[in-house]
Amino acid sequence: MAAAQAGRGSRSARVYGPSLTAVCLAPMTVLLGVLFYLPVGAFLARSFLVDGFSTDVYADLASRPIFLLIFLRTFRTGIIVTLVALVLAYPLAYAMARARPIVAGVATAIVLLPLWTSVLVRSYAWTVLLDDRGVINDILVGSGLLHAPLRILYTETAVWIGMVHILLPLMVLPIYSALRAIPTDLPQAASGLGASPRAVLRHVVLPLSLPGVFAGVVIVFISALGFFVTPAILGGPKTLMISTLITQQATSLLDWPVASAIALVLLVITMAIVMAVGRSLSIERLLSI
Amino acid sequence: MAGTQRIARTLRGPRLSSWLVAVPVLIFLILPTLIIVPISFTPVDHLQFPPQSLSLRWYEELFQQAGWLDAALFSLKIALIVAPVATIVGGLGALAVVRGALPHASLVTGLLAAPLIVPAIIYAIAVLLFLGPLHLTGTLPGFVLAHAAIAVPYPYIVVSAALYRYDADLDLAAMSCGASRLRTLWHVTLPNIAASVFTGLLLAFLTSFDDATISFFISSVSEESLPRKMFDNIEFAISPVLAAVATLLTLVTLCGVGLAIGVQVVSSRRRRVRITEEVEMA
Amino acid sequence: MPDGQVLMSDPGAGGRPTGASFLSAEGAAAGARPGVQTAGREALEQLGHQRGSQIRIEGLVKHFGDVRAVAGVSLGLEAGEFLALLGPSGSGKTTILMCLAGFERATGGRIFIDDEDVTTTPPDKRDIGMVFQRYALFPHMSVLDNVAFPLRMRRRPRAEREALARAALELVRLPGVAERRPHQLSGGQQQRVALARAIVFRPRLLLMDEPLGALDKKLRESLQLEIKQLQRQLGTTVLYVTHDQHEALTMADRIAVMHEGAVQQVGPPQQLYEEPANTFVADFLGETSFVDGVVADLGASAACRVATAGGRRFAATLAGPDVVRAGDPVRVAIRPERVVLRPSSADHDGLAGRVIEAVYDGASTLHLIESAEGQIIRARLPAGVPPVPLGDRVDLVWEPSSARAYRRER
Repeated sequence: MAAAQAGRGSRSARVYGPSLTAVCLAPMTVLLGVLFYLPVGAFLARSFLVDGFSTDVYADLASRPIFLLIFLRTFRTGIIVTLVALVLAYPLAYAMARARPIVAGVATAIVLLPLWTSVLVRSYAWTVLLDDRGVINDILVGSGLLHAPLRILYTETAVWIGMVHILLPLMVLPIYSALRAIPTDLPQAASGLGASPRAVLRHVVLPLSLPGVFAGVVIVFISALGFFVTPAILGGPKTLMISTLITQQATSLLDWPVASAIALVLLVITMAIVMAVGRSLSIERLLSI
Repeated sequence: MAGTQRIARTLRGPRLSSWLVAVPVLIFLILPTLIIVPISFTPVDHLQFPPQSLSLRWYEELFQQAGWLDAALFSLKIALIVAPVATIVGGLGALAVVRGALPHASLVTGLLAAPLIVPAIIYAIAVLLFLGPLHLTGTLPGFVLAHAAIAVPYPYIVVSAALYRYDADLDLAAMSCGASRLRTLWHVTLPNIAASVFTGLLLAFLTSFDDATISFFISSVSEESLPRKMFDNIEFAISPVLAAVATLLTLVTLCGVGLAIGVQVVSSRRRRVRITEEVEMA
Repeated sequence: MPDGQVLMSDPGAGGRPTGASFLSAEGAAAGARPGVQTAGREALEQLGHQRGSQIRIEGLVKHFGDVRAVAGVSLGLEAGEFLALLGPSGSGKTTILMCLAGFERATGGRIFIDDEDVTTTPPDKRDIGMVFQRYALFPHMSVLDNVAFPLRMRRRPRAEREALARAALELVRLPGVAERRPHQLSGGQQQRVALARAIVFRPRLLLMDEPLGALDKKLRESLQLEIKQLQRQLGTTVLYVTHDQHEALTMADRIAVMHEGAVQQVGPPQQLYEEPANTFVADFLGETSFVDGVVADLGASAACRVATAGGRRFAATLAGPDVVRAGDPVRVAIRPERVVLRPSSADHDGLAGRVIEAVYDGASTLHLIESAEGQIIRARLPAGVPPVPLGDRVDLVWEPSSARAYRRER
């Protein structure tokens, strides 16, 4: 046994040798290779492998304004949702970072709970709230504030509200984590040097929290681009987004090349954003672990 | 834990104004889920808030109507298979990347975490196209295969983070005590990252159990997952039974989150090592 | 019982020069309380007697990529010897320890334990105990389980494991903490537990990697004594890595001074302190003042006279491995406690200067004297001698044997 082990073993006890690393990495590589990369690659290839290589589909897409419109609408939604989420999340994260541990803990639980709750449950909750005869309208009409119910559900506004709600925790957590990482002596030092609380916020806290803000913005934005469940449930026929468009093309119209082409464009844009930002952020930070 | 540094007490003034926004946001976050709970107890057959009286009518319907139980059981079976598999595979992957001195480690991590970045809709349709010809849509194995890929990055990320934080000296100490690599892993490493492994397991479970997008595409009429059934009901039948389903699911999540947090708290309390210069107490 | 007696009262067993002889008196005094002594002896009986191993390192080389951490080191440790590896960060001392432990694979060279070649043996098969700077106690196990762990790995039955673990805890004077968790103990206690864990299986060699670095001064000093006592009782061979020269001087039988991957000098503490082999060792161990000059003339054996650039002349002794001829440039090392201060006089042709600083530290006063040429010489006067006022002019005098002249590059 000792002899068998004597030759084996890596240069260092801290590091796994090549064969051990390969053995540990193999299952995940195979699983993802076969069950993820293969299907996705095959699907995306359909956009340019129709009877041989051709980019006709893309030319076709580019020529029909409706697709461009939907892309722009999805982008607009993404930007609006991201900005609103940012405006709501920063004060919350800031308050949490400064709170007593118990308060911060409760707030964290309130933020985590929706995050781990099914997207479906949360989207459903919004249908209940925003429906013509839903909770909000019930209150508004019932109390006499409005004569007729507000038409929110199945409009773009409903999608925005729903998506902000669902993606908000993903914006709060990275910012919170970045704020907590600021050493306590920095604001103290600034304050001692004569900075007002507002100035400390502006010149010390804000800049140092930017990595978290950045991470949150990126996660929320790319999630918003590819969102399916919420737009499907809260949106209507007039609020088609990229994801529901792909679905329509794939399942109703069975136009696989077009669906694949749209998907590929979405993916390229997502990857471009991630890679552009990925230089300054690690994956771990991006996913706010 | 030394990392929990708060920037409290050094700034006065903006404190009040940030809570002014923060509290409504917190309410905004939790409100929808809280609305559902009372609605699930309504005695009438349409959505009513607040309910006039309380009744368990819809919970009874939930458990009596075979459709819902079947769907729930189906989702449960899938998740119970996917979770441990994803955790083991993802955990091993984490070991390899954190300890394997791979070149371009962040690139590898990016590739392994791709399912988290690639929009769900793309993967859902891709897997539909993949499983279709294999006649695996609407089957348990089909769902397991589809969910495995999206579940595996979570344990991978969580266990990687734990391994990075892990004090490598512990493993060296174990080896100096005569433990082989495998025994070190079993007796020393794993117990100390157990909380994170458990969190990864939980995340993998929830990812599979709650998955709506993929379920939407690969469910069949006979075999549909719970999210798919909910999806249909939301689209076509606004009935309070959905509120009951949602309430129960939220309860499950609550237990899950509580469990995960509890495990983390207990384990970090155990691991608090005081490496400070202190007066001898012996 | 007789064996225990011999071990505790005969520190010079084997004829090794002991630089720490005063420790045996302290040790005897500390163990004089009957209860403690009996308990310690019983524990020792239980753990069993085993003479430490003889270690041989031949031509050890270790590269990390392009960096050469260890450049051909050869060292030997006698059975039961306490050798300190002393050096600044980056000197290679920790790397040597890691290679001995098996945590790093040597790039070249061989390691022998009792004539058995263990160069490629995995760390878990080397039967070596190790104590880490930050204790590395398993947080998820009780203290007792921590200490019993090596025995568990060796598949000893539970009852035996626990008995031996408790005996080890007794030896490190921690009998009551078996059921606690590591985080409930203070730093010093944790390190003692780590020590117990490292010796419970009577290893052939005990490696210690700056184990007291995380503790405060008083704690460090008392633990130094305890570790030394324990080592004597057990007879284990110890390799102790440290950057603290005081620690090395007080604890080691021999010291190996390391610099940039090579051993500068090996020998008993007194030899290294009184007769450093080069300027690095002279500087690293204890305080030293350096004066640069040129050899004016050579005398009998190693005696010489050195002339400084400013024309001062004084007697010195040639030291170091290089051959020195008249006219060669040298660097002279002088210990502050060997410098004698005399009132300034006209016919003194040695170094002289003005006192620019006097630092009182209780046991002595350190004087800094600036010579006309701008050199700073340190002189330490013991507490009984009145300190010299600042600004006074003094002549510096010393025994020729106290001034060691090493050849230097131009």
